Amino acid sequence: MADSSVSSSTWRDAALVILGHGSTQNPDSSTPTWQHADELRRRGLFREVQCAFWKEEPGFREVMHMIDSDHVFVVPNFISEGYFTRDVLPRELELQGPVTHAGGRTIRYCDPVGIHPSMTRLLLKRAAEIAPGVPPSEISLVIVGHGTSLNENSTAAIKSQVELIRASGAGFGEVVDAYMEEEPLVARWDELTTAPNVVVVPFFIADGLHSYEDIPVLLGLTENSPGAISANQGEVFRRNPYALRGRQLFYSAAIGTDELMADVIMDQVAAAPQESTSPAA
Amino acid sequence: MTLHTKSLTEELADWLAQGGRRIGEIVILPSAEGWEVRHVDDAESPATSLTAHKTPEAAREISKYDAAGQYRPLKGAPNLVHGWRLILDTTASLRDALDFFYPAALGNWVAFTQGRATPSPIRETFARQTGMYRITGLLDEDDCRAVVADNCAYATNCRRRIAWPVAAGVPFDNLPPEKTNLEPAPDEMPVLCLHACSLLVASARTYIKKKRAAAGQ
Repeated sequence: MADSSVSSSTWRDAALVILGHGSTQNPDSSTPTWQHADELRRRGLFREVQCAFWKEEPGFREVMHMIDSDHVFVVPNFISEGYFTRDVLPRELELQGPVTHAGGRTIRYCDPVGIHPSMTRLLLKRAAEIAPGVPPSEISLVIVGHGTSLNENSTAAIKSQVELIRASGAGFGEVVDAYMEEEPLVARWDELTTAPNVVVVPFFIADGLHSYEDIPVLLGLTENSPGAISANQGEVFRRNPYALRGRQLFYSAAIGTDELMADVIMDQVAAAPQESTSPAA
Repeated sequence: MTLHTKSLTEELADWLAQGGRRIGEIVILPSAEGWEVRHVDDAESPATSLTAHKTPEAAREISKYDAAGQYRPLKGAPNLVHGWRLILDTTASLRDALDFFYPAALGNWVAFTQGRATPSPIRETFARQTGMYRITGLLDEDDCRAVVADNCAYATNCRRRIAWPVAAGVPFDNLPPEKTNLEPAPDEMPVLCLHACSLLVASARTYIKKKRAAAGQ
């Protein structure tokens, strides 16, 4: 958590840069990142707050030209550590390590939001909101990821959250992880769970094809009809609960759309890497 | 050590004071409230014929879709919608709005004109790609000329002006002058392209895969 040498007084003279993936196809992909940036701007904690994206503008290579501050905190709005946070972002931002000194600037590269333990808080809140009045003991909570080598560490981030929620005392009947493209497959959600109520939360940064269409089809909420569901987009989240396979299923929007993600970004800023002991000249 | 002598908002104020008015498809007009931004084609339209907005964030929504409702991931695309006016009371708000209409245009222009920005030659951009885009490193100089001419056309595809060469010391010789003219009219701030965007990298991948397939590779 917060460290004395990277304090809130430092933030007020610093820039926060939130990095997202973005999309050239899905207009909702960058929306949560912008919303979290707007919220953090409103709080006035930083001198300036900017966003940059891999697939949208501004791009990673131009965002540093958009800020005035000499101190910069960079937070990847990504769900896990992996190819993007370890290879692409450092390369495109020309980072030298956790702390970079370049052009008179100090850039602190924080961990991605999805691996912060405070994501647990969001998942618990989301589960309570989506199935109001249902006792946790009668809920199986399913946290869904993509799986496969596309993002080798997303499964690790989800498994970690499953353990944290089990240990949290929240009292869920059970908490399990499931994936679109690897075992345990989310398509077998009824075999993976036993409680009469099943809450399914996609562990993604934004809503898009996966949460609007792919996962609902795998769950059996909708038929596979490309285009038809995209046209309605968020509609699939508004039809809860679904009576399916003898259970009551509640389906959530992507966890990254939660407004509390702004707090997780701040948690990662508070945990920012320290000044190296021998900064470059 | 301070990076800049002036903030970007101060740089914008200086540009406006010197008569700067146009960026991409937008025009900035002095008004009683401060500044009014419009599509350049709507500069002479009666105010009552335009939908008024009053926050910088409105620029993000105005620029998100084209007139046909299609998503605009590329903000340099010359299809900004008409029929709106954005009234802003401070230069700081104007700066925020500009960064939604033409992301990083102000910062890129200031950094470039002050010698603090180094554009990446397109072959270097392709050569540093990894993962599914690593294959773009196979584009030769003529491939690069073809892909940029096809995808970045100023009139139809993108109003950014490219500041990068094909390779170090090898400028583009096949593009219309407006695409590489970095000093347009005195009242216009060029929307500079300092590094090829991800759309071009993706197009380059498609191009080289097709070319190799056609060659039986």
